Amino acid sequence: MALSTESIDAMKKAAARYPQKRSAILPALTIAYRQIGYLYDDLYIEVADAIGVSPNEVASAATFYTMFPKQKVGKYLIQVCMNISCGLMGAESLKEYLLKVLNIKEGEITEDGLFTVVSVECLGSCTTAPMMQVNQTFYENLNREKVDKILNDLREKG
Amino acid sequence: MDKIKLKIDGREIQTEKGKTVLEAALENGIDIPVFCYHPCLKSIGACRICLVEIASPRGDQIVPWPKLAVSCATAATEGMEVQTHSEKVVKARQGVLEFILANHPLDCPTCDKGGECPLQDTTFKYGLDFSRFEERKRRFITDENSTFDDLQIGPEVIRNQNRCIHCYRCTRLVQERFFEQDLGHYQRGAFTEILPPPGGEIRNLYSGNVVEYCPVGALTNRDWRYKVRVWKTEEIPTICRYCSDGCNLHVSVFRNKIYRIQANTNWSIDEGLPCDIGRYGYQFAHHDDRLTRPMIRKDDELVECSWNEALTVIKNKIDQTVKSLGSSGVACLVGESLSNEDYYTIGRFFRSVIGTNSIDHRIYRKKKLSFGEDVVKRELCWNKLDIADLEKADQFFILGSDLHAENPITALRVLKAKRFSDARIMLLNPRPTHLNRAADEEHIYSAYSEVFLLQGLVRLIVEKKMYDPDKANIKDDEAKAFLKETADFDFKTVSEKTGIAPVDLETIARSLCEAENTIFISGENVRIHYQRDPILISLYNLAKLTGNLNGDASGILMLGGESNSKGCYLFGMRPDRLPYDKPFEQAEELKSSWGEIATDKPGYDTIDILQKINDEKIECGFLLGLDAADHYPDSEYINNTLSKLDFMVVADLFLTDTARLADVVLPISSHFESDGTFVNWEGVLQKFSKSIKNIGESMPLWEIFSKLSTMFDADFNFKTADDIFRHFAPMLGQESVSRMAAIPKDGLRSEKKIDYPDLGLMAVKYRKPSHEDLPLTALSGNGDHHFSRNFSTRCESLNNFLADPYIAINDKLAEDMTISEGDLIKLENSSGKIVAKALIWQNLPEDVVFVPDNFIEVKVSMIRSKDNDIDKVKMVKM
Repeated sequence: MALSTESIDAMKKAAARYPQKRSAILPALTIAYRQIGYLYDDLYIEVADAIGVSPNEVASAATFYTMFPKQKVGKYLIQVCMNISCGLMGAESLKEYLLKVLNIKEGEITEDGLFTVVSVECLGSCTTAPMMQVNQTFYENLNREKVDKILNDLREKG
Repeated sequence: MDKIKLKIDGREIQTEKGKTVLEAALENGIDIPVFCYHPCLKSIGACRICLVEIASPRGDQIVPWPKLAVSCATAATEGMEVQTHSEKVVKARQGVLEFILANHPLDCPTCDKGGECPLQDTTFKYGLDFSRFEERKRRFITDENSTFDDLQIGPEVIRNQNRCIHCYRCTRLVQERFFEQDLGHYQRGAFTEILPPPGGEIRNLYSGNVVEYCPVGALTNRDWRYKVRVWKTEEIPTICRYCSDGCNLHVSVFRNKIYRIQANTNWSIDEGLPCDIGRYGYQFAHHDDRLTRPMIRKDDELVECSWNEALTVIKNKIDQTVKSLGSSGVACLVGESLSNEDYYTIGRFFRSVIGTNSIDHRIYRKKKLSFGEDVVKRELCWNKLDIADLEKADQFFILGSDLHAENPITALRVLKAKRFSDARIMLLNPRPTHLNRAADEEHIYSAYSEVFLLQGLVRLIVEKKMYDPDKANIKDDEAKAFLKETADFDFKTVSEKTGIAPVDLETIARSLCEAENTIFISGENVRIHYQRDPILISLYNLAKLTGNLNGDASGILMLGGESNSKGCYLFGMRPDRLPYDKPFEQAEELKSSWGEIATDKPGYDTIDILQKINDEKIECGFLLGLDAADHYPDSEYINNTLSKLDFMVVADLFLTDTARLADVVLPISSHFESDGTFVNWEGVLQKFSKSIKNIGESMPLWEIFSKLSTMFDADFNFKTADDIFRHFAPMLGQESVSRMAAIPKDGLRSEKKIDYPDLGLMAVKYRKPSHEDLPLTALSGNGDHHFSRNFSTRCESLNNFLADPYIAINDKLAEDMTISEGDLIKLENSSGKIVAKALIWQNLPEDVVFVPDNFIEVKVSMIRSKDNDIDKVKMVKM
């Protein structure tokens, strides 16, 4: 069992809020994601058991949403917005810069296990382009200096 | 139903309110192409190919809609004007097709769907002859070394995701209609994949339908693919030979060989969604085990001989027996999946030529029925409802029936009622059954406590006055008398005996009283129960009490049985009834065509026949299309008995256990090799047609007995099945149908359905069953994807789902005895023993084991004894 008892309890509690159990699939997946950091096949079965739906429904929903990473990622998942506004403001070169300073390819994990960089579609922060999201936090109006600082701060935090 | 009028392509059309534009058009023969629409499913408007141009009235003007609409998801309304093939529509469809084809590999030459592909046909009709899409098409690579991207996703289903156009018919069928979760869509957008859940495969009982209804070649069938091109095959209509639902099917034949079976939609029965057993269950027809020549016993060995030799021996032996013992020295047992034409000819041969009435089909019974036989037999077994009526019910009370495995298509209607009108399903069984995937309540009662359960519920309702006295038509003194008579069925005792908690009993009783229309369904577990009659009478009580006896969508159904169990009974395969269920008193009419028949006294039933064989009063026995040595619930007794016969004739497709004991073995043809008719459980008579030539020298039974009749100077002169049909057609009571060809496409429904009489509340007695003093009760039934013996286990495709016999045991019991799944275990009692692999079922009661009775290697009859009502066993780990 990969899921902790707290996670399972939280999922059950979430499931109790809805008249239909399958409505709790996304809340439950979010709980699983917060605990494990990414989703994978066997985890769908555990989630399904916890809220009493079929693994098919859980896996269908999970694979539909790209926001859930399906492979192991670094402690900090850096999602760089590549959509039109950010793109015009230099998202491409910003991403290249990130990959260069971290010495990884897109989707890979740095040796220290801290970072993974992926490109994503619009995160709804077009007025502050270019931007990126690190785990749950937005970093906006980026340039190389800002990126260096953010990475250093995160490294210090460990 | 409210009618509305609209114009489609300038034609005035009338349709029912609530129908979609597409349905209105299709009903009236106006063709609109579809991919994602299927009449069994809710519309989702995913593929957009059914676009039409619509204008509807506003004030006194007809106003065109601003854009094209999908006809499958637009309701038809009064005064609407629809264009299905205008220039705008055709151009739009071309556009839709261009988008669909952008990612479609167009590998038609190597695709198995070619020739019957809706996408191919629609492209042929509407598609452009060029594509503006120059980019690389998406590809789902399953094997780097292969240019084909096939992936086996179930025992019989192979997927090629490149071809998928995302109509979701497959996943909708599986999830909406079958209530299964073994197929889903994964990922998103153009990269959506059809897949079973992680670690699983698609193996539900209806899985073949996803292949048939895939509008492209994305899902293909393992068995059929690449063997023959579809335009070379001939499609011949047939009826399924397995369960008593009577699905209509199409056989695809090429050069005298069956290659596959597909649905032949009959909306009133199967809705075009047959189960896999019917779909893949044809393979026995070409099996190497088929008998091809008659065989005769010489020096204690069966050797092949000519038909003439075999029939002469039979003729001589019959003469000899009749001379020494009289005609009562001859008896006949028949199987339940022969055709009506067979039964009619068999009946005529034995009754008029030989003069014996000892004909029976009820081989599954150990003992005679005890009480109220007439009421039960005449009234309760006559199912009043039709399959389609099930849709209208609000509640199902399913008792002692593994409906999913015994009548898969009836089960599908129950599920339809659940899906589309939210009907409640209550399951009451001595073991878990697969219908529990959709049940609102499932109760597992202690095995053989049905009488307590039912009478307990009746008593509870009467005692607490939960019933509506007007609906139930019960007077107070009648209720009082009933309570007095059933004093030992009090709440506490019933709960103890059945193992169902008092609060649950009360819930069941309440929901029975509250629902408007409840249908009571009962099946195999009750059919072979030692107290079948008291159970049926209690069901009658319960239906009467809750006002569900004679409604349009309520009543009692006694299901189970085989493809022609009903025909077998209707066409006189009982010692006391003549064809079309006529009593002996009404024999005059028959005598005019049959000649003299013995109607002074009924013949012997199965139990008496076996007894008389032991008493040496019957010397000549016929077993026709019946593996009695395996079906009869006491293998030792039946083997000993049958070997006492002086002369035994077995007619079957295979050399069964019974055939091995015979003096003469006659090869009979399967229903694919002859015309004929079956009657399903509703009483609908349906026709099947000859699709292949007889295998070897085999003949249908009617032909054998017609030939035999000429040797007795009583030439029946039946040259074709239709000759026989013409003989009994007048008995069917429908003047227009005098030839087989006149049977309507969706079957001949008997219009006369008698209401159940009001017999008041009848108290029944519980009789303690006799059994050995052993810890476990052995129950049996159909294993996954199998039905009956000898046939389904000779079909490779069905064996791909389940090939080996098993013994299912409870998990706790397994733990106590340190048995893990797959270990060999032995069930044993004084009758015999069986050995098979263990399978662990978590919610099986601890004192019950389940053995599928489809497998020839593991005979459940070995652990059964006719002297015991219940088969108790002990279990040993090997």
